[in-house]
Amino acid sequence: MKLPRRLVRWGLPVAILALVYFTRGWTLPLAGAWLDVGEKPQPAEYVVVLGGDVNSRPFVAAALVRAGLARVALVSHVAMLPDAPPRLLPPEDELARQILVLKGVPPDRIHRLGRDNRTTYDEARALAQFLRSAQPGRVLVPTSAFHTRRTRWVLRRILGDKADAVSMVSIPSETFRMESWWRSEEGFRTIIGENLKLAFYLVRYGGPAVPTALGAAVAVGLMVWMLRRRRRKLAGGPAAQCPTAPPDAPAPPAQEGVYLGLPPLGPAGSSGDSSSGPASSSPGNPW
Amino acid sequence: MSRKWRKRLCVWGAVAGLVAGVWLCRAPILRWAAWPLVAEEPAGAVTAVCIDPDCDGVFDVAAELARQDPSRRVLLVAPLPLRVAQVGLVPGWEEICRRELLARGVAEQAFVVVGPPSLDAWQHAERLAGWLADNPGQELLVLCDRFDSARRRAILHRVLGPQAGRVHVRGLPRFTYDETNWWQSRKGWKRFADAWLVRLHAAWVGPPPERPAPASLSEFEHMVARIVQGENP
Repeated sequence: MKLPRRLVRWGLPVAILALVYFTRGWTLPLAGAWLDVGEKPQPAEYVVVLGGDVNSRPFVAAALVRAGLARVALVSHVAMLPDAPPRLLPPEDELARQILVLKGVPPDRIHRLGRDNRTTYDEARALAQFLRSAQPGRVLVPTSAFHTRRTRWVLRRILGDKADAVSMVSIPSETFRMESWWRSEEGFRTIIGENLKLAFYLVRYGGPAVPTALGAAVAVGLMVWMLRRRRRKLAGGPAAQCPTAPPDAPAPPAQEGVYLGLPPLGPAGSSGDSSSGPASSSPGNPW
Repeated sequence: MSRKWRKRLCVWGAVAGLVAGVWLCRAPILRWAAWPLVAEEPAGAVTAVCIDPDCDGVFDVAAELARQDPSRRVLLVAPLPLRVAQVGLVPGWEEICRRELLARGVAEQAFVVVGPPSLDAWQHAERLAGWLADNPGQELLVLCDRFDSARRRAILHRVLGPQAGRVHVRGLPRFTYDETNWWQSRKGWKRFADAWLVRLHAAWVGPPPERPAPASLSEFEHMVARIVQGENP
């Protein structure tokens, strides 16, 4: 009887892992593809240049302005971190501004967004603040394809209803292919890291709902585990239940129903050694 | 108190004790977690130093080593050029490194640029292998990010094979964190997670089976045009 249970306990996770391994050609691309929620660019009033990738985001933003799909470029002011190397390159927002000008965006249509932004969350708050005082309009956010889902989630969280006016524009990665991201170090680091960041954002910025749900799930899991353990003990662990039993009392022969924590199939006491409680089944029990 | 409750108390007490012990010893545990990421090899009598411009304080360390022995050369295996450098807004890596080293008193002729730019640490190691083959008798010290140093050493060992003994690795700490306090800053956490991911990838997968060719400026402009038109490049 123990073998099938052990098989279930150890075999199921192994089977799941094996399934994931053998279907990795489908499942792994999905883990990357689901992060990309980019849309076709629609005409908008603003285009936001987020920090973190000066090699692509300002170029796409400039192209969107040039194509008439956006009128004003909002450049995120990225914080200079205390551990940044001493100015090998100009500050990121300054570089982004220079790229926009170089690519034909008039300087009077470039605005700074926020101050000392360190994270995507900071940038979303800065955008919300800007939109409160600026004239309303649609917003385009060109960003790395794997970054679009987290950015959209943060914007929805902070902008609320106004987030409907925000569209994400995906910029494909140049250093790895999304459909085979796990083959390259950069892809592996980026996609796993982005999924971890998304989980972190859900817990950190998701309000009380996410931690509460997680806590409730853990509590329910613990309760179920304890109940099952208790039922199993009541059904098959007489030595542990009866204080009068000697500590080395042998356990009763296990039955299928009893071992699985279920009541026996037949009427109690009908087969002599099966019973619904431990008291009558223990050889060391005086009753 | 029944035996059952005594047993339960013991179990819960042990769990609580374990949690408290982990919490009290978190600093050594977290230090220990970062330890496999760090390589610290004695430099010995190296004749050349290879720098990674993305490391904090790398120019100061390289200049100090060059001052100790003026015959030492400073090598750069350049990373891919930044697009902002390609469009002429900032100087390239080579020029930046030359400028920083000259400002610290390193002689112009000590600076050597090795091979074409490398896409990743594996190509970086291949470039160094080529340089070592062309320069027998040279011993090299690679200065790199501290949390990347063990991976770099492992990659160098794999690429160089028996020549790996001619290369030493020294991980340079970031200005605000190292393996003794990384958990106290957000950047430290991100770097720690990143470093473990690429370390595991290097160990499991080895050299990347595919490397997308870096896009030229015109290819990139073409890609941007397709993004603007709403086509998925």
